Amino acid sequence: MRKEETIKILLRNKLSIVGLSIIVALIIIAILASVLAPYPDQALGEPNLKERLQPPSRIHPFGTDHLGRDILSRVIYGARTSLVVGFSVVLLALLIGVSLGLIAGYFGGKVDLIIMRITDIFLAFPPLLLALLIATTLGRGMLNAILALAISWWPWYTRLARGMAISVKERPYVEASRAMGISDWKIMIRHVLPNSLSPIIVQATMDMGSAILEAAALSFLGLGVQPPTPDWGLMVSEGKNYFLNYWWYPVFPGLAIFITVMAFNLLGDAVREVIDPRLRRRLL
Amino acid sequence: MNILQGILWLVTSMGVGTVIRVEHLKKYFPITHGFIRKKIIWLKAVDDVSFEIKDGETFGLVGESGSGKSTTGRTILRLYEPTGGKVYFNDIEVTALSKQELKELRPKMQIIYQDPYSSLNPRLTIFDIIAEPLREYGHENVEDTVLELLEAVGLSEEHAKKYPDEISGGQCQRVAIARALALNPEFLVLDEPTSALDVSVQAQVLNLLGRLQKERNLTYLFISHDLGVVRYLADRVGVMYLGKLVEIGTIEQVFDNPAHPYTRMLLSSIPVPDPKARAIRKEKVIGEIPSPLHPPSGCRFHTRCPYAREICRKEEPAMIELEKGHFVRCHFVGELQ
Amino acid sequence: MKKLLEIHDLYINFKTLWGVAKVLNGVSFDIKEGEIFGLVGETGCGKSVTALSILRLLPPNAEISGKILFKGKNLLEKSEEDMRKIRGKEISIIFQDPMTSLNPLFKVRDQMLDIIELHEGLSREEAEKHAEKLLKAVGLSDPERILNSYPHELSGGMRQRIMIAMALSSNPFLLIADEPTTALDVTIQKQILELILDLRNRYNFSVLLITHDLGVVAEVCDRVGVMYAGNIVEIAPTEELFENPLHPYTQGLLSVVPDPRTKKPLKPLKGSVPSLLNPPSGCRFHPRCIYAKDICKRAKPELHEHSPGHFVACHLYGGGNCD
Repeated sequence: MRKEETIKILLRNKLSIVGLSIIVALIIIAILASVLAPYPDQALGEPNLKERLQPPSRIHPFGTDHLGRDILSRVIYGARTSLVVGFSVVLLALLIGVSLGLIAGYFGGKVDLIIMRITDIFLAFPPLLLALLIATTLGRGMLNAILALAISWWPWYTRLARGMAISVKERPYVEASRAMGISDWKIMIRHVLPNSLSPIIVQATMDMGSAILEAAALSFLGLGVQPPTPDWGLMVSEGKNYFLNYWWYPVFPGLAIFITVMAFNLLGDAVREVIDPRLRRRLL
Repeated sequence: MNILQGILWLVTSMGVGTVIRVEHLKKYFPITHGFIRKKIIWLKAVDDVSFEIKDGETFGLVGESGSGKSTTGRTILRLYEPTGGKVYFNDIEVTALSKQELKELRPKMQIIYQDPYSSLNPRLTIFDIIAEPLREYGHENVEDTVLELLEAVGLSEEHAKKYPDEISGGQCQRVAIARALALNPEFLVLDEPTSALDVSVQAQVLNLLGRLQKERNLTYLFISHDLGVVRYLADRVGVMYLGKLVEIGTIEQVFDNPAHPYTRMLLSSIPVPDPKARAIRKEKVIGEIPSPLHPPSGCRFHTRCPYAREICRKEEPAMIELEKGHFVRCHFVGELQ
Repeated sequence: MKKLLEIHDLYINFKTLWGVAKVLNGVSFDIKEGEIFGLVGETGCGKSVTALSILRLLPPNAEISGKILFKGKNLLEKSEEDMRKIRGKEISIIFQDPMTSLNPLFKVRDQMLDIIELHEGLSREEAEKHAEKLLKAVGLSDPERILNSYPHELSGGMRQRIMIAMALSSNPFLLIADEPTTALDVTIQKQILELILDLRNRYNFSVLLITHDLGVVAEVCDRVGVMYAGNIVEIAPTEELFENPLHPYTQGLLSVVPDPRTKKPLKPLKGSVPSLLNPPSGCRFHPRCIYAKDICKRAKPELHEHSPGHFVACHLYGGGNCD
């Protein structure tokens, strides 16, 4: 499939355009946060006790929090945290999961057995619970939260990658490479990996949303990003106590989480349509 | 007494001139049955197969699905590890080589597959596909060699930048041939190389294979279910049925004078492109191919053989040489003539 | 003989992401009662699309124009409701791979009886008797065992026999067989072809046999249409076509089929089948034709009767609307 076709199909689906635009917008916001945020100092934690818990107004479109900080600014800066955490978690999990899955699927036998039993053990825990456990052990902080989430996440990619590797290694071009005496590692990297990636990329795109959500959950429970770092999950957590009288405090960061997760899911669906030939035909 | 002549005799009698010698080759696959109590049944895909392929010759291997013809080809190349028997390539015992030794021999023996699209990695350009084996073995001038190969198979420089799904099936098959030729092989396994192609393209590829064989002195093992194609390209032919070779001979011996009842049934089943010679009115086809998991006892063909008698159910017939180079595995060879 | 099916000037376009594919470019032919008519051609020539268009089973992105007269009535003007009554009852179809046409989760009994009850309005017992009779008619001697089997327990040949039995369950006038033996071994192919011939002789239905294999055509067809890139280029009685092929494409096709009886040289056609997104102008075969003239690039040759019963669409033979 050529690139132009991919783009063509992506653009045909209006929802995918919505998802894609939101994500592009988020990335731009994250990069330009210091320019876009009206009160960068407050976003980074500077208290402004004179204006505590102000409702949305012209000066503070999203209102202010219990320390008088501009919520809009903090939500804008929060995009940075969320995207960094989301990308890092998925990337790390992909790195571990896909390598192990490829090795298990391609070589099979005992290697496969050992890797998959370990994977099964990890999969036996509910992912969030496992992440919680690991985060508790490692201690608070953003880096530990990323590690905890990645560790609870990789087994899913291992399974997916192993399944793909098993089916791809049966293709004649892999056998042809073996017949030419190409080494196993080269075959794995040059032939099996690129042809196994499509469904994994779909999964990873969808998982971006979930990773952001779970990172928010960790923050909410006090195990992730620590105050005063601007983070959506943390803001919702702090804001929940004020919800009844000061609704804007948790609602705007909550909305930010919702929109971001939805955008990644929409994009994931679209990417799947591009990649899955059966769905692609339906689009014709 | 001419000493030279003596040496020549010695050399030829030692088997020079034979590129591939297959002796009692066996390939069994374990099939597990049942969930709780696992039972292993052996699928005898190739069961005691022996033949030779001479230098520059095309040996056709024909048979229907489940006959083991493709497995034979792959086991010769040790893409499958044989269960038993020996394979010699120019007097090197392929089946005894270590992994490293095998890698050194690989360039000499290559394979072409049936489905032209799935035998090329869709994520690589044609150039990279053909260059892969050259780079692996540290060739110099990779670029020039790839272009030469493209030209040799009737493609041009403009194809090099394309991806497999941007060219036709016939062109893909030419790329696969170019890749196989990259390392200057002596022996090629052609596993149904034209079965997935349209007839007009099939003829182009068959002629290309014929031309390359002459130009580069290649030896072919040509595996096909299409007897018309085999007649066109092969010099000698072996007929397989349920893992056994039942008849071997020159093309003329087997096609014009088939001795085994199965060969006859097969030949009379092929639709002939000539309405005046409708095969439908000729020899009757009895039954279907039994499962290779549970092959019949004795002669494996007895369940479908119009001449089968008691002995066929009990005893497996031996290979009998009917005339020079024409071998048949049947109890009643003489009587059927 | 009376004409059962007449196709006039059938054009079909598919709208795709990459443009409009002109899949059928004015196809006309007819099938007489009790006749086996072969439609032969290479990949993408439009033979399967023709078959599906008769049953109006084309995907929604197809644009169709022309006439398909079945027993004198235009199928393209029928309502979907009427078509449903025709499909499987008056016109049946069998496909290349019988495995994909049978549901692997149900026994043959359930699938056969459902079809028979639907079309015939029979009770369960009557339907069962009818199914057994049909299975015997297609050469399956142990119908009880077959009915109790799941599709995967049967061989490819048996599954194709079951498909034929199901297709014939309501005594159709026309059986469309789309590459019915392509997935089968030659010995089994021979049995299935013999079966189709035999059943046709007994029940006198018509058959539209779609195949890429000229050998199969030679074995069973009464008349043949040769298709190339969305056009029928030649129609003739089978013997006439093989003995006296007129169209350069037919001649080329016949000269590239390897014959198991002798080793004759193959003279391949140059080039390959064109893309239907951007087909050649005039005669779509002209870029590959050794006789191509100027007119071939400009005007599409019309199918005309060159000698009684032998139609050809080629400027070499004049006729048609050569301007």
